Amino acid sequence: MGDTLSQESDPPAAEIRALWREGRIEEARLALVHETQHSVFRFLKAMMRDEDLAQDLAQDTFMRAFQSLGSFRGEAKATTWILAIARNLALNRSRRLRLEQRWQQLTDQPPDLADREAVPEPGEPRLTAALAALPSAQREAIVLYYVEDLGIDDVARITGRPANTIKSDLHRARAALRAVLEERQDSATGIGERGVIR
Amino acid sequence: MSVRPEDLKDDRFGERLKRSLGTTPARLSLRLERLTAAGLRPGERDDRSKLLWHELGIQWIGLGLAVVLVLGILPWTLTHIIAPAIPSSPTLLGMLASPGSLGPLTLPLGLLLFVEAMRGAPTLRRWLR
Repeated sequence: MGDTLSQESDPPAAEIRALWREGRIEEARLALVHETQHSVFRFLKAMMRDEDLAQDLAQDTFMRAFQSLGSFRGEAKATTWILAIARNLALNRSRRLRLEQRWQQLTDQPPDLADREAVPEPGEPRLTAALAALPSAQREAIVLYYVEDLGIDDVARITGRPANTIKSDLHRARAALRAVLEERQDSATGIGERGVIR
Repeated sequence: MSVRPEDLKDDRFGERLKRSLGTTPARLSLRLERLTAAGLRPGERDDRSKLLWHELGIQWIGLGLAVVLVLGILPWTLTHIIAPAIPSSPTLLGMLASPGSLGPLTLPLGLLLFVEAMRGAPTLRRWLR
């Protein structure tokens, strides 16, 4: 995957590119891991709503990134480049999980209810639960914009949606999260199925 | 260019979200660091700054050497190894030792050498190592 996501260059991206060009492939990969691992993990955790799945997908994301590191020209931020890979893998996995769930329903096996419980979060459980309850388009927009500090243009390029749609998604998502955070009552929040992006 | 509109600015909100999602578990970090060596031999360097013509040059030199080697060895092999094993017939010997006898071999040999060259002369490199 080429890094046509942004014309902006950042020092870590240039360093990764330089290491790769010098044939120091392992060091280039290591620099990529150090630079982007938290972003990849946070994004996948928010999208999949399941920490184990997020870890599994993070590993797949880095394997895919290592394979296509040669196509990374260092013009875009390394984070922007690798998050696009992570998003594709997350969508593929989600589609597969949805098919598996449909198959499970067809074969009349009751779904594992225990597995559908929300993951208790140590920090801000209400915020995490509210984030998990957002529609996937709003969730990914809010994570990419507020957590990963990407610009609207980068979020639009990664998600393939128009910039104006991203803006309205961000406004809606922020309003929804604020409403939940301002509620004093600790009411139970509806959470979607883990691992399935809706 | 990174577009971040003023009306969406909310650093505190971003910090809270970041905190709530946490950071990469140490076990995953370790696993990812180990993965960086996947598919690489220890200490291997693969200099990608080499130009294409450099790579191609090496391949064509390899091909040239292979051709010279085969053309040099074949008549000698025919005269000294194959011919003595065949019952003496001046006509047959003459045919075998003459360059004309190489004619039918040109096509299969050429094909073999072409494939070898296209693969980056791995056999030749193995011999030279």
